[in-house]
Amino acid sequence: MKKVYFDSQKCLGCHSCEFACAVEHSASKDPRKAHLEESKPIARRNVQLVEGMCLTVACRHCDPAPCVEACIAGAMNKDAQTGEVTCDTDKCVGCWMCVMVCPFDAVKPGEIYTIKCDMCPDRDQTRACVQACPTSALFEATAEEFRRIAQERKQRAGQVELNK
Amino acid sequence: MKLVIIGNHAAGLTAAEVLRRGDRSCRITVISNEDVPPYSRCLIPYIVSGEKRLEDILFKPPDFYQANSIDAMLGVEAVRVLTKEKAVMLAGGQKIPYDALIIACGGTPSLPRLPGVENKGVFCFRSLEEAQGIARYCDRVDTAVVLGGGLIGLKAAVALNQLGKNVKVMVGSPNVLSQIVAANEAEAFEEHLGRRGMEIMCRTNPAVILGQGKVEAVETTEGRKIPCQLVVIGKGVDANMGLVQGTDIGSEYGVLVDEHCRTNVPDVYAAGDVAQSQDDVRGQKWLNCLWPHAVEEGRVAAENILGAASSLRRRTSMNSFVIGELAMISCGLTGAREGVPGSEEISVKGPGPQDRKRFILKDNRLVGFVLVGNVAHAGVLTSLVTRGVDASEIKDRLVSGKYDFSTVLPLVRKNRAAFSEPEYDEVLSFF
Repeated sequence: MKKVYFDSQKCLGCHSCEFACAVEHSASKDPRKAHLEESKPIARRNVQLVEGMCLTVACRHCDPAPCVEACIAGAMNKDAQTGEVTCDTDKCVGCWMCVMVCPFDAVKPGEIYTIKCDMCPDRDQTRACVQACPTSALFEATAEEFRRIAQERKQRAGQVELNK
Repeated sequence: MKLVIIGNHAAGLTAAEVLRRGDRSCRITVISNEDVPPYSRCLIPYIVSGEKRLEDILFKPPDFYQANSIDAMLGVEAVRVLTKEKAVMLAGGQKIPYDALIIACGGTPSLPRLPGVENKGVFCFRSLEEAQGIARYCDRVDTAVVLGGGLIGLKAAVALNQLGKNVKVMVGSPNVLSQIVAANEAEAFEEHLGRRGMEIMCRTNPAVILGQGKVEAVETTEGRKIPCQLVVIGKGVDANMGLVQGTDIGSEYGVLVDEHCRTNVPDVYAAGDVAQSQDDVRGQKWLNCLWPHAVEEGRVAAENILGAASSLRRRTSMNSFVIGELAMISCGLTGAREGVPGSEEISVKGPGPQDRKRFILKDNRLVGFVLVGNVAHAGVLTSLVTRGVDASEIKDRLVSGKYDFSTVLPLVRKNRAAFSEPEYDEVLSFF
């Protein structure tokens, strides 16, 4: 499974990912119309500032996932094949057990049911947030690819330190 | 390998599922005295209110047992664990041998010693059968009395209120929900339920249930008679310990387990409402009867049987519920009677009319919190309570109510040993 990862050093804090996510989860999927819809589209991703850097947070699709274990309605599920954690909004009863246990604050209490990253089920290719990111701070990778990229980054950072 | 699970709810069925996923060939037997499809206990209020049918409250597919090749012995009472023989004895004397056993037999509502409880129209509120019984009985009910102002009592009250019944809740304590919250938050619920037409009678205890075969009234200890046709008892739940009594399996208020859900007897595990596990905020083993804990225990017990040495996450009491559209999330040492010595409590009201927040700090650590009304971002607070890290630097943010994941991120970076899940690595790798 490919997850969406985040390179904080490339993030400008432009909120493009947030906007694209909200539009993707609107009825029209059109940025010019989405904000005029009766129920305002809600982003599943949030850009936050921390220690002079930017951070964009959404569901990590944890394994094992605390929100899935906490769900009293059998609504929150982790797909055995893809590893994606999604909420079946027909089953969700809005008890907010998932909100209580999500350490990344990536599960939001909505009007009726839980709102979280659903990995853009209407898209075949790149997720909306990744496609919208102008600096490639957000990128898709398998766990293995991610580990390699992070490792390379650490080594490069180490060399920069040595050259100083 | 022959694996036996006693119990067919959150813990038992999670364990069965994890075992089957990890081992295609093992033999799995689930024993339960309840012959029911895999329904969620927490959703039975919807059966009473009529909002949902049985098929709507299943948390596993109805063909769960067949799909996972599980021998389901339902409607069968397990009476004793024979640890020497490695077998479970059933009510008829039959013995079911096991290589590994998971005790996940839950609890039973405690019945107060009250004259008249045998009358028709007196119900507990834990099982599907009881919920269906209440729903059927409701036709002839005009007024219902709920005994107990805990979560179960209030859920029953709201469900009956939705059916248009006249509901009176009798609470012995000075406030409702006294085990979970303090007076401040309890009052928000009392007002809220009052507005919806329920009568909350605090500091009131029943003396006798009156009726000749059928409930006619509840008489309080002060001699006041409250006419009613239905009584729902929500006076807490006791762990089902009959199975382990007289055996060498260690128990206190529940079956004692370690972080791998092992009991003191080899190959015997316990999970769910019957298991008493470490509470990392209280620093002792505690009976926390919670759905999230039950599922996690079921998984961890199963994984350990399969040979993985997985452990329970750091944990404590926590709960999230919506009672009549008013939400609340609590975690840690929040109860009215908890009274943590040397702690500092910060209470905040607003901005919404029903919004309340309370933070309990001790030695700079967040040891508990309660959010009423707006419960967003609660998960980051839960992570602080369970990890027990120094939170002094973010105290102002907590009090201001403006907290999210970025608030706790500096603490995560400083305390990586306490925040060890690989998902934190993913977030922090490029920082």
